[in-house]
Amino acid sequence: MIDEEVAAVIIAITVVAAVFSYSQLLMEGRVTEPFSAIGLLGPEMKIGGYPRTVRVNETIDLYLFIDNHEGRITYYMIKAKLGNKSTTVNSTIPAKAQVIATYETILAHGQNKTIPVTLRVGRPMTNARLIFELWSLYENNTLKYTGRWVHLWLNVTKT
Amino acid sequence: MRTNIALLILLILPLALTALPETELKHRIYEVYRLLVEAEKEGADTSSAASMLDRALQLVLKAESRGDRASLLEAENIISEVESMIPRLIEEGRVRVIIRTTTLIAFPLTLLVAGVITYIYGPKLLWRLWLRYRREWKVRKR
Repeated sequence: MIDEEVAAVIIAITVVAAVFSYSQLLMEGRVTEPFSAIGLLGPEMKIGGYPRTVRVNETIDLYLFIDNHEGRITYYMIKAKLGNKSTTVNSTIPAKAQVIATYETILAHGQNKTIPVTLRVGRPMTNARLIFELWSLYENNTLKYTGRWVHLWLNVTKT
Repeated sequence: MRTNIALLILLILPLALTALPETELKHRIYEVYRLLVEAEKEGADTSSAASMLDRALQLVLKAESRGDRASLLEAENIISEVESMIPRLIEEGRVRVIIRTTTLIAFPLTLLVAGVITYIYGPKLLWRLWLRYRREWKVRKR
């Protein structure tokens, strides 16, 4: 028949497998660290190739990547703002700058979306800061800054 | 004459009802989003509904920027479809929650029962099998 040691090993493996599958079942669908992500992609939908210098009113083509890992369906709003060198933006304070465009999307948990962005800057600027902030719209109709943002430095020339 | 007027009203009424402005549709999208959040709390899987609602939102945004009325009508149909999906999603979610809870209880319970049965009847069964396996054996004198 089966050796005692072999039987012990089989039982141990069975116990470990049972505990592992039970823990997987227990943790299924549970999000331990909810987060949202925003990324800025270049005109070729890749990281890189970002425009550095553009002319006044020239079309700036970019892409925004939004990822939802909040563990819930989320209504996102992305605010595109035009700031400069002195504009402050961080994970707690959104930028106090002119909103030049807004984008909206609804994503379920685990879903992501790449949004095409077409913008123009109407005046010449040195060290212009194109900021994209990620905001969430909650069920009580409040719009909250998620603390996630991306930015792009630009020089906007006359010709 | 009255019949003609009634027919005319019946023809105009759906058009008037569907002639919703963008803001009204955005408000409806937000309301459906709220319903989906509640449905999700009851275990509903909102993935497909979220994708559809996002499609409706993009159509409304497109209509806002380009004044595309066809997009508004399409968006309205999608919103209505998502809204009608919600009770089914909640029901499916509830069933999923019940199955999950049952599995969570049944799984360790089954293991426990199997362990107790093995402890009580295991040795007896093992020796019975051992004997059955060797019943044809003959002892040879050396």
